[in-house]
Amino acid sequence: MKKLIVLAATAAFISTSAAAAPGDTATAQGAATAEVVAPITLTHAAGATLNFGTFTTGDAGGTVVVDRTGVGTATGEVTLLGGSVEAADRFNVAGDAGRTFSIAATGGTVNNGSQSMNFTTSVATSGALSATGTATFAVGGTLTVVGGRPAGAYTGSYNVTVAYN
Amino acid sequence: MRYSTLYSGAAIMAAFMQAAPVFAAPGDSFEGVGTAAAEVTDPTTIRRVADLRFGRFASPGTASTIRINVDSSFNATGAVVSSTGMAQPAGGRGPAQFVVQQAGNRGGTVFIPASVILTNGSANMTVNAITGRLVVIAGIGRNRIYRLDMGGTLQINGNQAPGAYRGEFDVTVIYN
Repeated sequence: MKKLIVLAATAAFISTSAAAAPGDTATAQGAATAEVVAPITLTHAAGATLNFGTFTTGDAGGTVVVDRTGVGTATGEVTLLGGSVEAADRFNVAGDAGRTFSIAATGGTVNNGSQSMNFTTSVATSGALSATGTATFAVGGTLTVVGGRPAGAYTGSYNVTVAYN
Repeated sequence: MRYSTLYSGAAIMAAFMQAAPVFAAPGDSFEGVGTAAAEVTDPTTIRRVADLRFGRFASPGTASTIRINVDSSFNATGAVVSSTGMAQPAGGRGPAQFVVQQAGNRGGTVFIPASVILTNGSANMTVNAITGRLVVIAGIGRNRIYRLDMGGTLQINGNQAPGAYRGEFDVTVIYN
């Protein structure tokens, strides 16, 4: 009867040096491998926020665009007021040194409790961790301003996700 | 009369241990017991082709597993799932592979480990649920060549320390 069979043995078998006995054997060494990298973590920079500033809507509205350096620009009938402070948001990333990662950000909605306006975000699609395993990136956005929205402070949130490439 | 069979079970292994030798020397030798003359078989009767590769992943916050199947498919459980899509090292994931040559007209038994410990020098992970299969890849009649595929499940601890992990094991063929 000619056959080859496979048996699962215990680890003890592997480390045992058995004495010679009748029969012929052959042994090959293999290896199992795995690479564990530090988890990637995303932290919102303290105090940072995507700030669309202070503006008037006009009758027809328009947009407020905040680029990733924090510079705000109004379009349509929207007018940024003197003293308005616009700002880009910032995030810190930590993880495996030198590894690249993808970035994705959703849009969102700001509201004053009764009325809301939508915004989209603008962010790099990827980043790279430094030799010390850190990175930062900024998020800009575009707020669609509806004409005639009541005055008030509008706030909202959005989600950002990073993942190793 | 060609077929391959998979068995698992330490009890069967133990019986073989007492009766069978394990030669780990490089190269393969054949000893004709009970005869005056020695025979020499093919220089290689089992040869490593590939390691069991679990690939690259981020340290999960909670205990997780990655299973590599003998057919090269894989599946993961737990927090590690979210990072199994990351770029893999050269060679990717896959089962260990060996080429096993049947010795003449004789059958034999291939022993694979029940578990393997991987270490990065300070931290460990265990591979268990190891499975194997033999696939005929060449040969007819008395000269048959098999490929041994070996899969397993990597047990990843929560917050497993980063690093390159490796563990070695022996696969032994005992010919009848």
